[in-house]
Amino acid sequence: MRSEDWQRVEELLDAALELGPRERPRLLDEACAGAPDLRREVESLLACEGRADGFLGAPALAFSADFFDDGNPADGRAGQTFGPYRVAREIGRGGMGAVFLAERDDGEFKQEVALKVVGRSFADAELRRRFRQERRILATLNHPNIARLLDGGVSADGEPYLVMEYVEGLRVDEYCARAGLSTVEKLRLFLEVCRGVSYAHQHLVVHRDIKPSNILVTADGVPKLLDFGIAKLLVEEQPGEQTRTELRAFTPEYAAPEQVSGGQVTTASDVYSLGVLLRDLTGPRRLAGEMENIVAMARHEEPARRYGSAAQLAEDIHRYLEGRPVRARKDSFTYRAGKFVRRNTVGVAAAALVLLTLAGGVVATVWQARRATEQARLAAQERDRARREAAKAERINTFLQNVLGLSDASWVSSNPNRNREATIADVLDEAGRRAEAELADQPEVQAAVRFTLGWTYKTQSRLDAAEPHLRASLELRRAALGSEHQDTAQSLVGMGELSLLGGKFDEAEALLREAVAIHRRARAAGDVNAKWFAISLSDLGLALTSKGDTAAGEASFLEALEVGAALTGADRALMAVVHSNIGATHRERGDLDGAIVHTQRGLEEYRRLPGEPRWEMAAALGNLAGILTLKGDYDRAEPLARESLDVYRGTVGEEHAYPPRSFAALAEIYYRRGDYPRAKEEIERALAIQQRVLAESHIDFARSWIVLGKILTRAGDPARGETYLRRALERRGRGLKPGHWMVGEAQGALGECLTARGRYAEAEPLLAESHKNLDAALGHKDPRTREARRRLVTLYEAWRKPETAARFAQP
Amino acid sequence: MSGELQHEVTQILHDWSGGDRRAPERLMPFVYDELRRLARAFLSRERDGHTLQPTALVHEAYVRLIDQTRVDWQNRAHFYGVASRMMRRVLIDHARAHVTDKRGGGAVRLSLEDVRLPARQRAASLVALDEALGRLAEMDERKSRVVEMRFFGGMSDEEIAEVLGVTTRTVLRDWKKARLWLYRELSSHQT
Repeated sequence: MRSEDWQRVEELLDAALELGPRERPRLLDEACAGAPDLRREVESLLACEGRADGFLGAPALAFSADFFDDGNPADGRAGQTFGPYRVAREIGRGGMGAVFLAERDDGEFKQEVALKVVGRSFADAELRRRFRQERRILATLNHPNIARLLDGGVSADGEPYLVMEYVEGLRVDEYCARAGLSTVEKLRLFLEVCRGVSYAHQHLVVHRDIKPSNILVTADGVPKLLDFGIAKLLVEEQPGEQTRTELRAFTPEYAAPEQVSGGQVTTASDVYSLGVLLRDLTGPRRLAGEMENIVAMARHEEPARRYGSAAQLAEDIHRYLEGRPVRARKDSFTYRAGKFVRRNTVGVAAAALVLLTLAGGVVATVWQARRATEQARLAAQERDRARREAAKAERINTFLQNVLGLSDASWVSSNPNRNREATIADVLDEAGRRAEAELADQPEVQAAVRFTLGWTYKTQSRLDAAEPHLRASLELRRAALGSEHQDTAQSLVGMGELSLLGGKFDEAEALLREAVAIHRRARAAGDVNAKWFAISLSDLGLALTSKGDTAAGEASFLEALEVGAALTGADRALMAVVHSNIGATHRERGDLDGAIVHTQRGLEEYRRLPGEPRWEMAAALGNLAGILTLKGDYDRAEPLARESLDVYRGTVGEEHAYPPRSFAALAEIYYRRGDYPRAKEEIERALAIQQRVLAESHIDFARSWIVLGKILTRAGDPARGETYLRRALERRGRGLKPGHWMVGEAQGALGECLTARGRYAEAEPLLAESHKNLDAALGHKDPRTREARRRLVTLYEAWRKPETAARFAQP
Repeated sequence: MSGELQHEVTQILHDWSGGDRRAPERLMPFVYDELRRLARAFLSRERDGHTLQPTALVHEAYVRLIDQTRVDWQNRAHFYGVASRMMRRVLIDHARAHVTDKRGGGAVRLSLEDVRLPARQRAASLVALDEALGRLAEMDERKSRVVEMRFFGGMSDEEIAEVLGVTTRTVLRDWKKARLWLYRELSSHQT
């Protein structure tokens, strides 16, 4: 076909595509009078519409995956980039992949690192998530005798990699030989190694592959352990394959018997390897007397009969160096706790956090009790209180011991999967079962324990499991402490957050108002718990804004800022939350610039917090992305929405109520850019998760339905779009105050859909109402109000009412 | 990647925005080599068709070849435009090696809807598509470029609009019409 002919075809095609199938014949009749070829051409193209939908839908690359299998090994790695790192040269190769010297170049400063390419692909998203989670734990190890895990990720080529501190030094055995160290000097060096191992064990990380080639000594004589916990990171978590994969991950000479046999690998396995190292360093044949006993104990066949920890091993070496008798391990509570930890490597870090939270309470109360008893003149009342606190602490302690000390037999037999490792869920469930029965006579203690359990379940999104514990803690506290006690308020906040998460905002408001009132009265009496007061105010603000009462919500947030001003450290997270929530209220009333300022202040607070990012930061990132999207700044919005998703994935995981909001934000960005296939992909992901994790009546569905409906309206299926938009409008109408801007938003989207379907008379009242609502809630200039006006203009133009259209045209 | 090569490639991109009309041609061999290398490294590991994103490959080539501190967004879009063409060439070159039967059978268009079909069929379809794109280019160069950038290069509509100097809306309409035309072309020529 000649280009001129094609041009005529195209013009006609454009016109026809704008029309519905019924109107097309008339157009063709008119345009193709006397030109049957033209008509045939256009009709044959129109006939492909609908059928061509999936055509070229996936990128070309997806069709070509196996065209490159020519068996060539990958080219040299030098120059290759992994995230921000660029490979300089290979420095080692082991069973788990190659190690390279690489450089991070930020423009500002250069950093040399050791980069390990993991010879394993992470096609499975769940595997990737666990890899990331584990990496985060390892990244917290910060000790002079441990080479730090700095970073890690998946390269653009899809290869997972780890980045570690680059240590220039000699292998420990080589160093000892070259430096000609005496036995005492060697033992001192070994003690430093133990210090590093012990530190890691305290952080519940097991090395699993301690051997001379994993310990380098720097020019300053400082030994550094390499690859801490890496073995586990690389081989763990493949059910059914565990034995085989474990076998790959150690060095037979240094591995403990349980490692070789595929048993449980624990901190005791590291103690065994340290024993072998000690023997090799000090010279196997020159060992005698107590030194021989030390090595023998470290290398005991039975893990339980070795030193309980690297620290205990080090202690005995100290005694040996000082000429004191070597001491045997004492069976104590810490030993039992250690044994528990060693028995349960999976999820134990998380479980330990819960238990430490409980134990933290113990420490505080014991300390209070002790301080109290040390004071000479005590009011009788206070003495009683101290005694009560001490008794309470004792009970929590006993309870903890019971949960920790679950005997092997009872644990395994009550556990359907024999040999499966205990998880955080197991520990929580078991603690929950026991709390009610064993602490029945101690309502206050039971309430504290069950509050912690419920709160932990809540942070894990197990709302159903959280509810009975939080409810019980509230009821117990009400009965035991009265309705005016701040502990009761704490339980109210717990229940309030559950209601918030469940989308029951009226219920949440009532609970949180009660909590706030208790704290307010406590402040008047001069004894307020500022942290929980601020939390309850912030949560109340959230409940109010969720209901659409923006002004009252903001007032509550501002009071939270004031109450929490003096908070420090990790507690500052609350200030970050409040700041970004204030940002959200500005957005709600159409002050987008104010919203950006406040949300950014919130983000600054988040970024200043110690430790890994928190999930709340993801919410702030998502909010900012949403606001920038409204302002049309998609280029800045998209990376923020992505970062928000990343933070969610690294914290609450993807199967949670919130990550779909980030997917929806991304979908909105792509929709506005006109990239409907990608937009649809993102929103369908959001809906899939929501269907799994949200209650059917949750209001968040409306957001996803609106985005999907808008996409369908523009991408060829307005009929289905209408279904979703009607559902969304109904849902929002039911959950929000009349006139709320979100109702207006839903009305507008539905009106646009009806306009596209040519049902102008139905669209008109919706679009008029939408414009009225948005104008009232957000003001004349807000992008959402302007969008509503544009929709009216489009409607009246399509309806051939240009005068009416002109009334709404933008200035 | 040596700094020199990066410098040279970045310079070509600059010459381009400075008006050098031969710049795209000069850029092509570098981009072709890099993409072929990356595709091999990438595709030999990932078999799951769903995880493949051309944008990731093109972007990786960009990061390796271009000193990003010296270029702006428009330069990037133009680079992507060249990269899409090279991606098309790399993929079609490899597909040709897998075409055993020049008559791909009536399933040609279908095999560009389903990534799980046998390699032979997919290869034949890609080659047929490439030829059809050539015919489309003869009567409407711009539409063939839109398909190239979107289907082979994984570029966004904004980026395509920037390269072609048209609005996003035009890009979308071009895409829609080009797809109809190609669909019909592949259906009718093969049966």
